[in-house]
Amino acid sequence: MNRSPGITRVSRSWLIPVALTLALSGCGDTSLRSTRYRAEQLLWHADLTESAVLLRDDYPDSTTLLGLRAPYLDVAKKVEVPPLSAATSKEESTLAIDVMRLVGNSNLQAARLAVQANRPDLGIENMKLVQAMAGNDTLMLRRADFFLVGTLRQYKRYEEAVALMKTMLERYPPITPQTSKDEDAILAIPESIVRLYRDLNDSTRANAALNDAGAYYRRVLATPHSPILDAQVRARLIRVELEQGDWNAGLRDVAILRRMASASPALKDLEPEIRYSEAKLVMMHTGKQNPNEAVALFEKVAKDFPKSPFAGRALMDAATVLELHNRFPEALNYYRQVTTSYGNQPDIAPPATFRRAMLEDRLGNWEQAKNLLDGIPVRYPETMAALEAPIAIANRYARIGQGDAAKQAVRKAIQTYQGLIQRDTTSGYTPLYRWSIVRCYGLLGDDQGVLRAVDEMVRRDMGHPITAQALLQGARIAHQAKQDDRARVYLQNYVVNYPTSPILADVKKQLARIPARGTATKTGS
Amino acid sequence: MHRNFRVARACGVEAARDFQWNEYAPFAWILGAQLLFLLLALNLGTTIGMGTAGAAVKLFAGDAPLHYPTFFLYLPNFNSWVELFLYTFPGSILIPISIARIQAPMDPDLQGAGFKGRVKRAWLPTLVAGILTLLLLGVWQWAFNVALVPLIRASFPGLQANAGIWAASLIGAYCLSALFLYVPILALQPDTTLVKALREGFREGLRLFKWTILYIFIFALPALPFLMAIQLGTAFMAERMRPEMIAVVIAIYAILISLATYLTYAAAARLHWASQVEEA
Repeated sequence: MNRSPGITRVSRSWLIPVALTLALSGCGDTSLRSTRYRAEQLLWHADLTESAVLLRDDYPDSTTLLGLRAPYLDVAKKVEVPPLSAATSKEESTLAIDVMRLVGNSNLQAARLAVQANRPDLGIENMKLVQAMAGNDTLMLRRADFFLVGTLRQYKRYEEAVALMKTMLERYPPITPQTSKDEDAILAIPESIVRLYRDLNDSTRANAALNDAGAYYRRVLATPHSPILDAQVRARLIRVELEQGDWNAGLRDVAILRRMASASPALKDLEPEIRYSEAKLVMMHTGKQNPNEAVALFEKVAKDFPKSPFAGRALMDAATVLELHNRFPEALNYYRQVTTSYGNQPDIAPPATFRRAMLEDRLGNWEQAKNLLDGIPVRYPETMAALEAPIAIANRYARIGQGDAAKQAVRKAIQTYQGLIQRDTTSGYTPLYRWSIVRCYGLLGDDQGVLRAVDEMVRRDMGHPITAQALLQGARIAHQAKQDDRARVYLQNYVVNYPTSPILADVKKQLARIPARGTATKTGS
Repeated sequence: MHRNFRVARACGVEAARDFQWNEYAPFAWILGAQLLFLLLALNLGTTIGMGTAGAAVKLFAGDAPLHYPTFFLYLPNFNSWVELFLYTFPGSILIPISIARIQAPMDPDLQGAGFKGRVKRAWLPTLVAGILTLLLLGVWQWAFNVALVPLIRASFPGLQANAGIWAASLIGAYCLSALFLYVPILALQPDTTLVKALREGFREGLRLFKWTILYIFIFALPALPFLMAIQLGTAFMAERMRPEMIAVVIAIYAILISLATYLTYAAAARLHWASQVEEA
């Protein structure tokens, strides 16, 4: 090529200064920035690989899922997390934290896939790696801890989950949100513990957890915070106090919250909750004698704030208090409003649908009631209403003396519960569905069916409080059916697995009364 | 008219048929720099990529675009800045060199000692014309966004409106470039001055406007689908394909438009010479 002498001069006059400027402007944090970019690139490609597999197969098998972990684990392998202590400027420190969070996130994604592949051991290992790597980065530690809690709950390691949640409350002080619409997830933990025990049907520990929740919120309120955080904590405390039926404390805290909200425009979003709490306090105070005032207040909350989650709750409470006073048509009207306008609100729609069905039946509209009850397990599968609805149909037929229809309804209920178990075999509700199957076989008088269902619970749900009841029921029926070996195994299982049960001494006495004989019947446990 | 068309066509065909690496080389330098930028941009995960292309981007746009895959959504913009910079500043020397080599067979003085002196004189008018074109392009883009874009959006549905805006914007930009295309050609004439080169170049641009715009569009035609993909389809490429695809498409566009620019100058230089001979 015929090179012009001008080119050499061009490189001197333009290219060298440009290259120097660019190189110098990138000095210092360039290496960290490129590491962050590489981590983002690897993480993005891992996500892409996973999406591509999920496009081909909605439910990949565990081998595929474990294979999908590899690209996420590659991020940790290929990207070295820079030591935070080595950062010499704020920008370098921010970049180092970014890299650490990216590597941490990829580990959490690997953990998620391990859990999905039914390998919680691998998942928990990943999460612990994140905890170790996070150092003092609270955001990353919190994320790992929340993930771990979810995993432990999924694998029914409830005690460990609760223990971790309790340590989280100690370790992570609640963060002040930007607006009153955002809330730190830490604040929801005390109530999550209460709900966990309620889902386990363990009312004693649920009540203790409720007391702990109240104590935690009071402790947080004792230290000074921003008005928004203070108001959010107090609102949660009021909910606890209302559940505890502590009218005086509730009244006092609502008054404080009302003062705070009127003093700060940033807290105007709390108005529906304050108004709802005030209505609830009125209901607690005067509702037993005359529900009209409370109902009017609840209705006003629903009318003034129809888009707030408290609107549905207010209508539900109005219906409940009217039903307690046997004012069924009015109560039914409120239940209908809840089911039609707030049918997607998971905390109120399922019980409202169930109660509506009960009142429709009571007021002579059984067809409508049956349709509603049949629809509950489909529309709201993991709820107490889904547990009760199929049996409620059978109970209604039994109540009016239609024995055959009742038996048919019980058989259908068993199929419904089996379908719900199949739908999500790892759901926290599966022990309760199996317990409902035990109850159904009991209603049918099918002892072998009861024992089969108890065996299934022993195999799958040992440690769950409802399984304790199933063991006692199984032992009683096995003893009646002259299967003492089987009864003994059930009781022995009870003694071993429920050592803190308050009726342990009685169970031991019962066990001692069963004569030792031959080989125990296989229970599969 | 028919004769003029035949001459213009003959100049265009000859420019394409007589492609010379030697003449194209200055444009290849510009292309090389552009491809180097893209190569470095594709390697932001390395210290050298981040320290060069990344640092240049950070200088103008801060840290926000330096994330994966967001960076590739910004890349067409960064690339057009780089392209404008290269064609305006280094181009003010490289383009006259290329045109001088194209004109050398028609102007014996450019084959010998005159080459250096005339190229030296031509860089300033070329730079001023380049900056003027940039300014006019900026004004055109602003006026277009304010006046025409809302009108097109109101008249056509989504995709058609986007395509219409893209086409109208492109036509306007090419028309403006055509007006100043002859400045470096006139600047290479012996005994020319800055003002004379700009004035005569602009006049020549107006006089040969329709043929010049024809050259620009015909030679740029293969590059236009890629330009359209870069300007309208980056999100699609990033989401449905791979973000790196954007850089590959930009590279293909850069190669094609570099060849098109060379051929346009080659054809325009020949047309200018032919019209001068005809007038003489």
